[in-house]
Amino acid sequence: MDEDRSGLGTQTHTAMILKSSGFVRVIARMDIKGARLIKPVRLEGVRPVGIAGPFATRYAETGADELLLMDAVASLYSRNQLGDLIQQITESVFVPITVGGGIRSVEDARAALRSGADKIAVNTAAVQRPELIREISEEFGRQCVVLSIEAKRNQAGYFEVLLNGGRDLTGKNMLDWVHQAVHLGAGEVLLTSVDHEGTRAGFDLEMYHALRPSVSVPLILSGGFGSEAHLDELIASGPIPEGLAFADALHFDRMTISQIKSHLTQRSLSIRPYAFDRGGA
Amino acid sequence: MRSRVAIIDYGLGNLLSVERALLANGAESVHRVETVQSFDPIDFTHMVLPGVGSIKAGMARLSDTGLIPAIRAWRESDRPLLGICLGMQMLMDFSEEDGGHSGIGIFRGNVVRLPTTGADGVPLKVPHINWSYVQNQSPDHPYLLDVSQEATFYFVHSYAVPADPSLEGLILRIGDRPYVAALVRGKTLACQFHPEKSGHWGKKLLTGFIAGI
Repeated sequence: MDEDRSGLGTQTHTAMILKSSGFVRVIARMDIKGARLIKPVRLEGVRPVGIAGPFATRYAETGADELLLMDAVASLYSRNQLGDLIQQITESVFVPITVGGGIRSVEDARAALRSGADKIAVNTAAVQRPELIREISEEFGRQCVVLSIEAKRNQAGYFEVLLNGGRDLTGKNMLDWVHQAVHLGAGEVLLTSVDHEGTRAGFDLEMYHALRPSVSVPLILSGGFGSEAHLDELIASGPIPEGLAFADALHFDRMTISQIKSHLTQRSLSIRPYAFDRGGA
Repeated sequence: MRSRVAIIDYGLGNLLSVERALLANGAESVHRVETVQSFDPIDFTHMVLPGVGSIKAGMARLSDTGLIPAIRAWRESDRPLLGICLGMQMLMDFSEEDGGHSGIGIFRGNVVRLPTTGADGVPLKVPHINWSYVQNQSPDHPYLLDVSQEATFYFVHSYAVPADPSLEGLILRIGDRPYVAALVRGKTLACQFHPEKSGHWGKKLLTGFIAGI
């Protein structure tokens, strides 16, 4: 690289290369029912948290690298409601938004994208008809398709894909399903441990490390975060996922995004610095 | 001068997000243009070519609008033009995606698939979905004056244009290789990243684009 042309000194240039190794994305996960933010516990019970819109704005304004909106009860409500919510959120939120829950067709995906979503998460409908992944991917690109998986270790000893908040068994092995889905066109994987979701007992490290070596696309880990010690456990266990999703820790103000990012920085991980944290650059 | 922005709507963009971001950063009005019949360049001050999707679907749909000659003419008269993600890739000569497709050819260069390993053999995740720092090659360009070393932008893509040291714009590093994060030429700004999703730094860039009539 021609340093004079770039206007940067050699020292800064080296620093930039080091810094470019990739941020760990800190993602705010919002489970939605109607216009409300809720918090599922072990994907079974739900606790209401509040009106979703202001939470989304706050997370974006305090350094969330992405928002993840999951319609928890899509089959019971019209999806227009979620579309309205996304449209409302994108008026004031200028970070990426992934939307999932009840996406059953290319047209559902198109409607969500046109409402302001950047990526589409598919789960139930894709398990029932895997070609859906190929269809959405061919229309909008694989970078647009997130495979959402809820799984738990079953009595046969493998990690089984579950549906509808962990109530329905599929008999599918998580590893086989991810392999198939990525082949069909999934560009990212969101992994939620049914056993750890909402428990604050720590991430499901066993499940994560079982999946990680076989995934060539970015992997986001969701479910179980309770305290900073859980981040340390995750970091100590091996390579860190490309993204970490946080829900009730944020919703109930037990930790802020900035505190999570500070902790990751102290542990030598690279995070996206947030301009307004430093007094508004 | 009032800023009236034409957004080329060929059915694949995240139009609402782009419109909202433009309106939040100085645009006075934003108009979706779907066909050449409904487009008169005299009505607009800025043109935006957004895009989410594959080059095959993108070029086919864009051809159907009949607007490709209008985009070329807009660029040739150096009026403010913004290409985003696929919209930027379609401004190139050629993309190897989907077996190979020609682009509009405003910029020289080819779009290639991102590597799955770095020089050190470390696996790289594709698609590249992340915020990233960039290296500003043209800090004197009016659009890029504010893009400091602290600036981060949001990328989501599986393909990109390899960058050489003569690039005018911003460089993205993936592994140890340089790619085009943004190209500038006159009043054209073509971004691989999504300024409309890049928070604070995206706002600065869009403000500069709208202000630079």
